[in-house]
Order: sequence, then C-alpha cells, then structure tokens
Amino acid sequence: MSSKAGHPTKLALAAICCALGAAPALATPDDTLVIGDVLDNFLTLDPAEIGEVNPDIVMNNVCDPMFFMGYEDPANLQPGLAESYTVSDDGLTYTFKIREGLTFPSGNPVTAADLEWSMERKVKLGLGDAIQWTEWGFTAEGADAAFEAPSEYELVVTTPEAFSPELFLIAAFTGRNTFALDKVYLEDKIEGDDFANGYLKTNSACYGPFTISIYRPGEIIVLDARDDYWRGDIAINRLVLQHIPEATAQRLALERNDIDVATRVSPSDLEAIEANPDLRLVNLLRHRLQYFSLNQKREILNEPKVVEAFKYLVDYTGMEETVMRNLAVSRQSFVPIGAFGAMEEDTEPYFLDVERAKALIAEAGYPDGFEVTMQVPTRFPYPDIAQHIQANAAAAGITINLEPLEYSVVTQRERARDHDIALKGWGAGYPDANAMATRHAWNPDNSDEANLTMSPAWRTGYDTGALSEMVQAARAEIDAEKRLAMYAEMQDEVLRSSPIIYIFQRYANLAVHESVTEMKANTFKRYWATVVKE
Amino acid sequence: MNAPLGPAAAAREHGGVGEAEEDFASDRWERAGALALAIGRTLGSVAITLFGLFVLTFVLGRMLPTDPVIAIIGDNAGPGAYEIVRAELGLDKPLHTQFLIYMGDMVRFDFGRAIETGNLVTEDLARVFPATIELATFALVIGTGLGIPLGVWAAVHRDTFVDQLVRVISLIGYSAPNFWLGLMGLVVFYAWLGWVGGPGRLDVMATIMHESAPRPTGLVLVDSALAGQWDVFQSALSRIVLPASILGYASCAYIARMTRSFMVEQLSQEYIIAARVKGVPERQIVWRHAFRNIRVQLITVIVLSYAFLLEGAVLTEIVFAWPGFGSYLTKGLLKADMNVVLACVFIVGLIFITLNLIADLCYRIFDPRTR
Repeated sequence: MSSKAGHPTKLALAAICCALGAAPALATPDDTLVIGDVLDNFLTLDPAEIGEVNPDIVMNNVCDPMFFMGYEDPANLQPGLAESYTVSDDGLTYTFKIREGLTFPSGNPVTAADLEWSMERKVKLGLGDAIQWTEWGFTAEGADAAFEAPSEYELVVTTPEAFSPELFLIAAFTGRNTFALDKVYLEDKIEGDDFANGYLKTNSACYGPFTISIYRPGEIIVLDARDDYWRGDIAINRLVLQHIPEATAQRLALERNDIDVATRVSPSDLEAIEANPDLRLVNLLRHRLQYFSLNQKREILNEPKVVEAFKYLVDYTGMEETVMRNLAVSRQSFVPIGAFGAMEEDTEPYFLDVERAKALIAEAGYPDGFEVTMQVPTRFPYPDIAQHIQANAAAAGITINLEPLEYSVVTQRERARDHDIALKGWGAGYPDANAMATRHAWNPDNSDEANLTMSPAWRTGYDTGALSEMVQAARAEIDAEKRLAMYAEMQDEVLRSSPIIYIFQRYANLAVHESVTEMKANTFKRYWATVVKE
Repeated sequence: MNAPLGPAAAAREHGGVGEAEEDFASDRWERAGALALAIGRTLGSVAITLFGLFVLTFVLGRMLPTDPVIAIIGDNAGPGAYEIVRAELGLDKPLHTQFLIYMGDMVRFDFGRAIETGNLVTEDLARVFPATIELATFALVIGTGLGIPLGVWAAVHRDTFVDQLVRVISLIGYSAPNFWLGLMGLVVFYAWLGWVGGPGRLDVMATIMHESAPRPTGLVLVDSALAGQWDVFQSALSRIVLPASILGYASCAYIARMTRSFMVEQLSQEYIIAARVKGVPERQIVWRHAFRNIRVQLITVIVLSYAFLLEGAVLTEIVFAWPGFGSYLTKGLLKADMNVVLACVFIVGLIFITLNLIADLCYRIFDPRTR
C-alpha cells in the first residue's frame, strides 16, 4: 500500500526533474528581436479607432504614414507614403504626390484612392480617434469633398480653414490618420456601414515594414519583416512582442537574454539594470505630463489664492530626485519639454513653500483650512505623489482625503466634473505646443451644457477667457516666430491662472540587451525596422 | 450486513420467476424514473443557480463605477464618439432591456466581443481556459501528491517533530503571498540556476513552431505530445513546472492540514485500537483502515482545491505571464466588460457544478451508504 501512496509524489518529482533538464529549450535566432511588453489594452487594431499607446506602437511598425517623424528630431518631417507636397496660396489646399510601386500584402497597389478612403472612413466612423481630424474642422458630411484622389498617385486634402502647414502636417499626417488601408481587399470585409471596422479590430491591411503573423493580445504578437520594404532592407526578419506584465520578470528575462528589450522598468529594477554591463537603459522623455486639477465648480477651490496655494504644496525637484528618479523630470508648464514653443525649463516659478501656502489660504478666507477629496489612480506613481501632496497640504492646514480609483474611473469622474481634485496624466501626440494647448488652454464655453469633455480645461471648469481664441489664432499663424511668442504668452497665463497644476513630465524607460547594437526610437515612435542585432 | 431487499430481489428470494421478471422490469422503470427525476432536479437547480448568478453579476457589474466607454474611446475623445460607442455597447438602453439582451445572447452562446482584445469572447475563452486547466491540473497533481502523504505522515507522528515540521511547511504555504513566491522562484530557479523556463507558456520559437501544429485540446503539453513536437513539449514543461509548483504548494498546504486533521480523528477511533490489539501491522492500519475512511472527505477537499485553482490564480498568472482565465476575468472586471464578466461567471458556475457532480459520483463509488 505504501508504495502505491508514494506514486503521486514520485510522478511529481519525475516531472520536475524532467523539466529541470529541459530548461534551455529553443534558442531565439539572431534575426529575431524579442520585446518584453504589456500586451493588454489591445482593444483594436483599426487605425480609425486606436486610442492606446501599445497598439499605436505596433501599428506604426505595420503601416507607413504619409510622413515620418525624424528618428532623432521628431519635428523633422521625412517622406513616407507621400513623396512631396504643395500648399495653395490661400493655405486651404494640400496636394500630395503619393509614392509609386508599393504593394499591400494582398498584392494590390497602394494608391491615392486607398488613402482617400482611409481618411474618409475615419471621419465618417466618428470613433474615439476621429478627433484627430475633427479637431481641424473636418466633418463626416464634408469628408467626401475634403479628401479627394484626382489621379492614381495624387491626393488632395482641402482644409476648412488655413493652418500653419508645419503644424498641420506633423499633427495630422505622421501617424494613424494617414495609414493607407487596402480598400480593394477590404471591400468584402465591410459589414453594413462599419467600413470594415469589425474586421480591422483584429486584423491589418496596410503597407509597412512588418506584417502581423501571430496576433494574440495578452500573450504574444509576432510580426514578419517585409523583404521589399521601400526604405531598405530590414536587418531582422521577425519581431516578437511577448506579454510579460511584471517588471521584475521582464528584467530577469532580459538578463538571461530571453528577451532583447524590456519596456517595463520599475524603480526597484533600475539599479540592477544600471549595474549590469550587458544591459543599457534608454530614457526617452515622453510628451506626457502628470498633473492634479482643482475643480472650479467647487466653491473653495474656485478661489484663486487657494489655487495658488496648492502650487506651493509640491516639492517638484525633491520628488524628481527621489521617488521619480529616472522616471520623470519636474515640469510646471503645460507644454512638454521638447515641443515646439515649450518654455525654458529653469523659468518655472513654483517650489515647495508650506508657509506661503498657509498664508495664501488664510488670505482666501480659510485660516482654519478646509477638507477636500483627491481622486487617485491606484497604479504607481500616483499614490506616492498623492501622499506627498497630502502630507504638505496637512502641514498647511488642508485635509486631503485620498480616494484610490481605477485610472479610467478618475477620468470618468473628471469628464463628468464630479471631483474635487483629480490626479492623472495627459499625453501629447506630436511635438508642438498646439497638441496640449487645444486641450489645456482651450475652453470656449465653460457651461455644463457645452460638454467639452475632450478638454481638461473644461473638465476642471477653467475659464480660459481670451486664451481659447489665442489657441485658434496660433494654429493658423504661419510665421514661426509669432507662433512661438503666442505660446510663450499662453504658458505664462496658464501657469498663473490655471487650476490644473502640472508637476512632472514622464520618461519612457527601455532596457536593452547588448545584443541589440542599433535601434532608433524617439518619444513618439519606435522604429523596429531599424534594429540591428548581433 | 442485512440490507433491506428491493422488490425485485425480494421476488427472486421467494422463487416466482415470471413474477420476478415482471417485478424486476418494473423495478428498473422505477429506478430509471428516479434517475430521470434526479437529473431533472439537478438540471433545474443548475439553471436556477446560473440564472441567479447572472442576475447578481449583472447588477454588481452595473453598480461598478467603471465606464467601459471611456476604456474604449480613451481620454482624448469628444462627446460625439462617446455617444456612438455607448450606443454600440447598448448602454443607452434601460437596464432591464440590457439584461434581456445579454440573456438572449447567452442562450445562443453568443457572448459577443471582448473590449480588451477585440476578439470574440468564445475565441478568447478557448485560448485562456485550456491554459488555466493545464496549470491548475499540474498544480493539483503536485498539491495532492505531496499534501496527502505529508498530512498522513504528520497525523501518524502527531505532536512530534515531524508534525511540527509539516505544520511549519503548511503555514508558509498558507501565508506566503503567491506573488512574492513567484518572483523569488523566478529569481532563484530561472535567473540564477537556469533550471526552469521563464515567463509565458512557451518560449518564443516554440510558440512559433506550435502555431502551425494542430491544437485540438488547447493544452500545450498534450497537443505538442500528440503532434510529436518534443521540443515544444520540453519548453512547455520547463515553463509550467515553477508556477504549478507554487500554486501546488498552496494547495499542498491546505490538503496536508485537512488530511492530518481527518487522519488524527480516524486514528483515535476504537476500530483502530482494536486493529492494533489484534496485531495488524501499523502501515496496514494507516493506509488500509484509517486512510480508506477519509477518502470521501478528501475528495471534497481536493475538488474544492481544484475549483479554486481553476477559478484563477491571478497574481501567479501575472508574475509568470500566464495567459489564463483569472487574469482574463480580472481585466474584464476592471474594464466593466459585461460580455467577458458574464461569460466567465457562466464558466465558473459550470466548473463548480461539474466538480460537484464529479464529487457526488466519487462519493457513490467510495461510500456505499450514498448509493
């Protein structure tokens, strides 16, 4: 009997021993780049619908836009599907020469008609990402007239009003807006009036350096390199994105070179990465700001001196050097460092001064302080930042109750103007002050009925006054110097009057194994086709 | 044993053959009827349980503060896009209409699409559920294989060093967080010693190889063995052993404690003392007499362990990047994705019901009194 009872134990031990002997399984070949990533939030692959960062990174390696952002300097436009362009004298008509000789994976040629259809469908579908066109005044009704392909390789875009061409091109033509979808191939994938949105949620049909061969979000995504890519040979044949959500697990896999790039680096792993000669850390300063907003619909928070007091309750540089080390730099302007029009870094006026904050609160009529609630996303580093502000506020007599919530719930409450203080982040999609100005300094109608939920200024009840008009004027200004001056003025005014208090600009941290000798990436894009691995 | 005779057996006892055959047939009908009634009752109670579960889940899901529309359209979108997506999800309809639509779809096994992946929920479940079954089964084999002998060992050596040792092992298994154990396991056995594979179900090349092979069960170990892909099998084995051991350890702790408790009770019974007085060897007393009498209780413990493992070990799945059921359900909950949540609740309900039925069946096999 005892020998029978021992069988499961022996079997388990045998399985363990068998596995131990099998650990080094199949080596990854040198022509395959493996990236440890978090493959959640792949809600869709449709360029008309994508709103998340990771699907955008993947699709920017599967689809070419009409223009690329420069590898080093994102503001430096490089030709993509469009070889060149001209702008009419009135600034309303853009004519693009489309590159010839490119073919979709289906074998169909890439033509201006594909681009025309892709742009129109995005506006007509009206999904979340349609705002990338509609914020320039394009409408579903006017889309047919706005995007036209008069010949096979000529595309004409007519804008509702004149814009600075440099701004308009970098904002609207360097990403998902101008991916060419294979119109002919997608014709029989259309269901009703969905413009093939159902199919494109989990499939791609565009021209770019890679094609998707395995797509299992939350597990693995494999891209195969095209061998006829117009920008030249791609050194790797295959790109694998492996889902490893935990940062330490990514670091361990990188140390063993089971992956070549780790995209999630936690503060606790930074030291180990820096100390390992086989690894290098790449810090890309993102155009993403973290802020807390004081809802102006709340009586106490609507008092300017209270708003000013809160600006003195953050130890900007202290946190940058401690909890946010390698993760962020302090930033008080609403325009991220690196964007066209961004104010100098050392001109930021606020610093930690609890006594001054206390005095301002007393002047505002609250000598005994007051009590408010701050809605805080549960993920790092928000709780740490919130606790820091809470402690400083307590010293100044303000009681802040922290309410930890899922990030999307904080957003939801902020959009509904149902918050006292919301702590969150905001990212810009291109390196120009306009990207943030149209959201953070633009609120032409502060009434509840206006429902301008896309604008954090409206969500916070920030009456931007003349700033809204200045935002509109700046994006139409052709003279770069004048535009710079307008953004400088806007930043001064926002710094002074905005109830949105900007505190940090985040880094994107990548840890790269020495086997990867070359890789071009900037804060907006990862160009995996440039990777060289040895 | 003088068990009461059934009508057919009683007839046979009295010798009337024709009459007995007739009674025997009628007895069979009676039994079949009783069985059909029992099955009907079970199915009825399953349906009521599942319906109650759906109502509760739907109401709780709708009470969550999360708005799935925001998750889809992102922070940047305007009110127009919000309304379009809200209508697409059917959230503009009254709550009871939404529920009826969900129920109607559910009856047709149409769970819709998952927000998180854009895939049909059924496709996602066909992927994540086998991953969990594989992990949970492996963990249960380890947990049971170690837990039962340890529990018996501790009971036999009650209040000795052995008993204390097993108690300490169990306590660590109970109290150490799986997340921490998982990370420590990866640091030691994967990063330092290189004995096991890293995160994920397969390494990259094995994944690509396995993609082209038939995958009838979705269980990588089984499918790769059936296809003769031994490299893939090795890769899968090297990657499952660590998460399964960690989950198995927690199960082992529970099973060992329960086994010990059951065995201690049995070993103090009079029939054991009588056996000892009669000179029956101790090994025989432990395994043939005492252990045999705890099998039914152990089945409940093991079935419960398996159910909890199948329900999902979310933190272990996160550490080991295991694309399983638990993390799928959790992400669905965080996004307030009712398609995913209700489908998963349906699956969890089925798991518990199936395992209960299996447990009942095992009772009948091991305990004649329940027949």
